[in-house]
Formats: sequence, structure tokens, C-alpha cells
Amino acid sequence: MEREWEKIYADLRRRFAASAVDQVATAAALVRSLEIGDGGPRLGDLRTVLHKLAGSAGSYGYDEISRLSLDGELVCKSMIESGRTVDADVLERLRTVLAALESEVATPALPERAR
Amino acid sequence: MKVLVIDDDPQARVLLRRSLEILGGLAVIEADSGREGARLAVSERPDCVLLDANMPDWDGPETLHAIRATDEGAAMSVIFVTGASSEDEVARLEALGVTGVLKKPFEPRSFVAAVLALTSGSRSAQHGESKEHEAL
Repeated sequence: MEREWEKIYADLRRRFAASAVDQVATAAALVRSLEIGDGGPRLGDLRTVLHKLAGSAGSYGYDEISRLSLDGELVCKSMIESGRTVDADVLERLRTVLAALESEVATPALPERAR
Repeated sequence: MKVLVIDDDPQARVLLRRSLEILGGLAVIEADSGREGARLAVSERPDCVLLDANMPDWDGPETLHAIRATDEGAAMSVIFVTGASSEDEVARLEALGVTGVLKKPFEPRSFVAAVLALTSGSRSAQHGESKEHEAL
């Protein structure tokens, strides 16, 4: 059972790593749409994408992707709950998170527990 | 034991399914929405429902309400799975009358062990107390 699980878990992680690239690309596109003033629902969409990524990435052992996604999600959550409009400072924070995520998914670190 | 996984995230569903099947020896059925999950809870009568708390359309609490409103689901074992980072949100979910609350992200082995422990307790006590487990 243990050997079977290790093999399957490794395969699931590979698939997740591939899909994370697409999810981060979706999040980056949403941040770009915020840059051109298309706010409102886009911020909720961005929060949803980052929320899922935070949960799944951590469960697949990609802790840094999970941590960065949670950082971005909390920025979105704070803005949504405050009702404030997205300003230059918030955009910069989201751009920073997305740049780090893009770098991370390009070469995701091997999960600690898989070593 | 048959488990119904309700989660809109396919990446989460596949990991839950495979870990529950292989590490827990459980039979797993899936739903990608609260509406579909509530329907399957009635037609499939699983021993336990793993319910994502945060979903579009029907979220976890709405889905739980729909399940509880049926004869088949009134006393069904339901465990929330949540990515909520605040303890207040976890406490709010626990107060809804579920078998337990498990957190995302999770480590698969610990998560399966927590599901088995919670469902074992709920089967022996029929209506066991809600418990939060750190499945990490």
C-alpha cells in the first residue's frame, strides 16, 4: 500500500504542478484586468483562484506556492471586506505576489515530505 | 465505508479520492457542486460526507442545510473541509452541527487518519461531539 501510494502521490504532484502554471496564469490575467480599472467582480474571482491554489498547493506539498497564494488571497479579502477600490499600493502588492508565484511554479520545489 | 466528497476544486477532489481509497481503504464518490452533492447524499446514502466549506453557488453551510433537510441526511456524518485561516470561521462551522472540521491544506496520511477517527467516533456515538482536527 505504501509503495502504491508513493507512486500515485508522485504522479498527482506532477499533474498538480502542471495545472498550477495555468492557475497562476489565470490569476496574473486577473491582476492585469485590475490594472486597467476592471475591478469589482474581478477581485472576487482573483480571491477564488488564489484560495483554491493555497489549499491545493499545500496539500500537494508545495508549501511556498500555498503561502504566496494565501498572501494574495488575504490582500483580496481585505479589499473586498473594506469596500475600498483597488489602488496603486494594492496593485503593487498583488503584482509582487504574482511575480513570486510565477517564479515558484516555473520550478516548484520538491515537497519536503516526498524526499 | 462509503465517503461522498463534495468540492468544486478538481485538484482537491482527486487528491481526496486517491488518498481515501488507497490509505483508508474507503469507497469514494464525488460531486463538484453543493447541489449535486446534496442529491448524491440522498441517492447514495454515504456513511460520511466531506464537504468543502467554500464553493460557488451553494457553499458548504447551504449544502449542509439541504442535506439535513432530508430524511436520509438528517443524521448523516458530515465533516467540513475548510481553507479558512481564522479560528472564528472554524468555530462558526463547528457550531453548525457537524461531525468535525478539517483544515486545508492537509497532509494526506494525517487527513485520512483524522477522517477515520472522526467517523469511528460518530458511528459509535451516533451523534458525537463536533471536533476540529489539524490534519497537518
